[in-house]
Amino acid sequence: MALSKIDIANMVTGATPVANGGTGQTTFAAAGLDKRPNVKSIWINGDMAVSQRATSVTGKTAGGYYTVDRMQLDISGTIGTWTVAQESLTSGSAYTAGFANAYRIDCTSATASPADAAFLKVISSFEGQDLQLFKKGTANAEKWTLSFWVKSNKTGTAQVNLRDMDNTRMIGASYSISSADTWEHKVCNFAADTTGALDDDNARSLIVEWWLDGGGNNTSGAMPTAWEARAVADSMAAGSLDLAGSTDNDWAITGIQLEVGEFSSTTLPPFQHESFGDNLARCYRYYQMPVHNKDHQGNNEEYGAFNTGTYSADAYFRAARPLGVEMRANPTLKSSSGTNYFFILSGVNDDINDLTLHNDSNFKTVWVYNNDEASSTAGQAGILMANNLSAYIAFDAEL
Amino acid sequence: MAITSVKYIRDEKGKDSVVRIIYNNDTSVKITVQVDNEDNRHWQQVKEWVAAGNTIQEAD
Repeated sequence: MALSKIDIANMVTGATPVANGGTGQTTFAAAGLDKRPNVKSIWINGDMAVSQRATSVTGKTAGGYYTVDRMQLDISGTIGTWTVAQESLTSGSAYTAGFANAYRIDCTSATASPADAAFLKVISSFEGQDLQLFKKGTANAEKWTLSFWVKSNKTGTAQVNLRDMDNTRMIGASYSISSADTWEHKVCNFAADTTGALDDDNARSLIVEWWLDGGGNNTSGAMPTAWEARAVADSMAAGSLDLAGSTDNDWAITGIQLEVGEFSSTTLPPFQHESFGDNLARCYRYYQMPVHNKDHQGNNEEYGAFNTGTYSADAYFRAARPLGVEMRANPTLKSSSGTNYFFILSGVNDDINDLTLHNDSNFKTVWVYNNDEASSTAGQAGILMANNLSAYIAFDAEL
Repeated sequence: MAITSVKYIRDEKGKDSVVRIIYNNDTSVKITVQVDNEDNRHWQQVKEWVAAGNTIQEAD
C-alpha cells in the first residue's frame, strides 16, 4: 500500500490539500493553530476534570475554592446560599463536544434584592508570568478571546470581564443565554490593551470574572468594550442573570478556553484536551492534597500516608514531604482537626488530632508537626498517617 | 470567608513564625501559614484584617 502524501507546505499555509488527502480537510492553518503561540492551554483545568477538594459542597454563603480546581466562587454581602459542585455530564451539547464535567452552582436560599454593594461571581485568576504572550501594555498588544460552554435555567444577557490586577484596569463582554437548561457555546472577544503591562511574576495579574448577580453599585455604569480604569459601576452593566433571586436557579460552565488573538465561533482553535494526570499536575501548582479521605478515583483512603518523620523531642513529631510539583508560593497548610484524626506509626500508634505548618516549609518541600498530643521518645522515627475518613492534609497556594 | 481570629504559634526556637487562622468560627480545619509570606493569599488576608483594626493573639 502506497503511503499518503503529507504536504507540510499545505499544512502551514492553509492551502487545501488535494493529493491523497482528499478535499475538505481542516488544515493546520485553517484551524487557527498557526495563530496559537502557546503549546498548552492557557486556561488550567478548563474541562473541569480535576476537583481535588470535593465534588459537591452545600450551604455556601461566602466565597472560596470549593470543588473544581482553579474555579472560585466570589461573594460579597448577602446574596443567596449555594451548592457548589463538579457536575458529571452525560448528555447535551457540551457533553457531545467532549466535556464530561462542569462547574455548577445551585441556589438553595434566595436573596431577591441584594444590597447595592453585594455581588455574586465565578472567577479564575492567573499569574502575570503566564500571560506575557498577550504583550499587554506594549505596542504589539494582542487581542483576547474567551470561549466557554454555559448552561442555566435563567435566560438573558450576562457580563464577563477581564480584570488587570496590576494596573487596576478592566474590559467586559456580554453573552446571552438563549435557551433555558441548554448547553450553549459562547465566544467573547476583548480588545488589545497597549496600556499597563502585566507583571512578570507569580502574583495575581488577571482575573476572569463571570458576573451572575449583584446590587446597584455594580450596574449603574456601562459595559466597557475597551480597556479602562476599573469602574465598579461598569462591572455588570450589560445585564444580570439575577441568579440569587430564586432557589430554582443554577448556572454551570465548562470547556473554557483563553486564546491569544481574535476568533469567532468558526475560527476558534480546538479545545486543548489534556490527560487527567497532566491536568492534575498543573493544578498542583496551586493546591495539593496529599492525604485525603478519597483518592482521585473516589476510593476510601483512610490510612493515607503523608511521609516518614521523627520525634525531635519526646512530645514533638515532625515530618517533611518534598512536593512533586513546585507550588506557586509557600503554601498554607489546611489540616482537618478532630480527635485522633491522625496517628504516627512508630512501634505503637501515637494518636494526634491535627497538624501545624513548620516554618522550614517552602514551595518545594513542606514540613508539618504536632507538639500537642505527640508522645514518644526523642529520636524515634514514625510514619504520619490519616486515621479517620474525615482526615486530610492539604497545601494551598492559590492566587 | 471572614476571619474570626488569628493567633501566633511559637516554634521550637521561640520565634512566632506561623499563625493559625480561624475563618467563620470553624475549628474543624486547622489553617496555618507562615508570617510575612507575602505571596500567600491567607497571609495577605491577615494583613488586611490587622489593617482593619484587629489584633493577632499572642502565642501560648
